[in-house]
Amino acid sequence: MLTRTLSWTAKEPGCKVTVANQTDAELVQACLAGRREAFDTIVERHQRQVYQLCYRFAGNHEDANDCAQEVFIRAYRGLKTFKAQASLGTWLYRIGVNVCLNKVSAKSRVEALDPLIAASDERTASHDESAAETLLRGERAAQVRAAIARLPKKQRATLVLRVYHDLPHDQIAGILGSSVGAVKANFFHALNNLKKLLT
Amino acid sequence: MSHLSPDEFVDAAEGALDARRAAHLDARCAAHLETCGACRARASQIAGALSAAQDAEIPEPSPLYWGHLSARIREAVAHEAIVPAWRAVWSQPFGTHRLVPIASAVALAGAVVVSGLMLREGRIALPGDRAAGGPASVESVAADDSEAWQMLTSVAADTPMEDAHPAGMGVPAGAIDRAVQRMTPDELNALGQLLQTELHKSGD
Repeated sequence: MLTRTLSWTAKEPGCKVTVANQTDAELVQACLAGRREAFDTIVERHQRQVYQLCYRFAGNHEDANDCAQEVFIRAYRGLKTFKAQASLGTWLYRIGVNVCLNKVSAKSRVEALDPLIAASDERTASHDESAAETLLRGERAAQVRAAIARLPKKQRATLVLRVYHDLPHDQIAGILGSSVGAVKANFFHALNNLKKLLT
Repeated sequence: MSHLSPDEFVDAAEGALDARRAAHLDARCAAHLETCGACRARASQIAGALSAAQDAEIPEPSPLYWGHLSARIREAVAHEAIVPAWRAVWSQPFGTHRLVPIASAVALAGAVVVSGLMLREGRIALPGDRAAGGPASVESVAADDSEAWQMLTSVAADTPMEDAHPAGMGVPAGAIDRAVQRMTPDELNALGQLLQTELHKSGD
């Protein structure tokens, strides 16, 4: 009975103090050893990056939210296949790209306007110059996001990973399962198409 | 001199926006851009698109959102066990996992047979026997046997072999052999049918 009590105590939320300082590889090992709270820490550590990746693909919060959740569920199920030689973040990116490529189609609903823009006509008139600039910048950002969401999937994946996650070309090639040359070509075409969509 | 390739345009665009990357720009590209207006204009357009993409921030969700996302993920995986790689073989088709129901059935049948024989020989007594102070009647043994059988069946159905012994469901070594040797033809026939049924369930 004592053993049982101690074992339970070790899994209390306070135990996060110990897992919070562990490396990703140690957290994965802890998960595989049955310490579920270690996976909570993995989620907390990577959810922002994964969400942002999904948002860049989907172009709206709802789809990004669904995809981000799906990424972590798939990661949990596939944790035993994670190879410690790779970065957990890169592995999550790979899952994220696959989830997004499968779930988010080119016809995906893309935000038409930022919430900031939606009811901004009268506010723009009554606000000072910096507020107007903020709104214009927000509108421009929404246009760019909408344009990115219309790019072909591989081009979108390459652009998102390169521009917003600053991954080197060879790492993107590893995630997408292609060559560095193909990644650079995709990136070139993505930027070309983006230019066309924005003009 | 040939114009820049897509690779080189990418390098040039990134180099135009990032001094660190500019340092890695191939000397041939740099020289070509100096002299070729068409490539310079194209590289500028690509750099413009890249710059627009870099400036496009995404709306930050509410600070509460991250807690909600974590909670939903936790809830979604709450009932799923992570199967370590060394145990993955048990979940493979045609793997050794298919022996589990058979082994469970054998152990279960053995436990029931041993218990039945011990009851028949009066080596153990049911709770009702102690109260009565004498051997149980045929009817009461049959009724209790049926309950014991149902209990064992329900417990064994979802119990992996590695958990059976710690749970006290194991059978002492040699007990099954001894029990089978003492079985009547009818009991042997019933045991055979039980094993056939379990083998059929496991699909082998």
